[in-house]
Amino acid sequence: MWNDRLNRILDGEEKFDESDENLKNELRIYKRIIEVYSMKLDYRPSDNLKDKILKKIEKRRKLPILIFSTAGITALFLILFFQFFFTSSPNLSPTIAEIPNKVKLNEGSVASFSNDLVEVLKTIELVSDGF
Amino acid sequence: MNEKQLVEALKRGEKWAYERLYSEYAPRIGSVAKSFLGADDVDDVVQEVMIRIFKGIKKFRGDSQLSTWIHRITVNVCKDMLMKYKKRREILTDFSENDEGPYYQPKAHEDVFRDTFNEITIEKVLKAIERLSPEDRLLIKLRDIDELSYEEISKIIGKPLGTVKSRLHYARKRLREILEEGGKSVERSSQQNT
Repeated sequence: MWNDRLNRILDGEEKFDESDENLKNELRIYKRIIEVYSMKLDYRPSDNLKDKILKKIEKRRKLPILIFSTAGITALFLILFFQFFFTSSPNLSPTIAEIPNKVKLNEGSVASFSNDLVEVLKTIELVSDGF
Repeated sequence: MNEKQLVEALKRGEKWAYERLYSEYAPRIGSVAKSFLGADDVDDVVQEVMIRIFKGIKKFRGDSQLSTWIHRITVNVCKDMLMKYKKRREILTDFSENDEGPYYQPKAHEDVFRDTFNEITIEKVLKAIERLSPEDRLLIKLRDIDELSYEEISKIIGKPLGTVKSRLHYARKRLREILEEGGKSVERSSQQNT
């Protein structure tokens, strides 16, 4: 019964009767307990912790910017690399059609190459079964 | 500067807003964590709560008060920490001793409580509170110390209003019983001495 009444008074559901000495005493004790507990729970955060937390938050806040800028720089480098590779490749590997224009062969080397080719073809003919 | 402006500044990630949030809410976060965990060193909890606020502030729609939302985050962080401690078997205070032990129903007369309270030291009051479960300590803290409404507490701990109320009544009763138990032992020891 005591507990129900005390709960109702603490919750503001019942008016506290000043004349009830027992209840008055009980309330005084409970309030004292709460006072002691309140002191025990007192927490004062330090400035060091504040700096530590703010640094962490700042780091996390900048993380997406860092990720996007890194990705952007990487993409830019890749584009530049491939652009350089593709624009310079025609000079390095000319097409078959471009070879006669780009390479000038002298008369003697062409003739010697032709003779060698004829010899090879003859050898193939000899060993071939006719098909 | 009202709460809405602070929330908007937090969403934009402004440093001054986080500084203000820290100076205003860190003492409350730490205090709630101390009551729930029963530990004095709660810097890790404060740090984790602040980081979670930063991560989740963009999703905060303002349906509840900022303080209610922060309290809720704090309780969640504390629960996670407690689970982690239990898993590692590094619990700071052995709460299970009281939770799983046999329910003690003292038959002592009310006078015993009143008469012996003067002999109960602050240390014993704190020990008695420590024997309550983390949730019970939290309820006493939020209602009897912070004077939050039952609606707010209900939102913070995510339980129906009726459950919160009955649980708090039980917590107060249990606290009284533990103190009576302590008072009786004080009385016994003083009788033995004489």
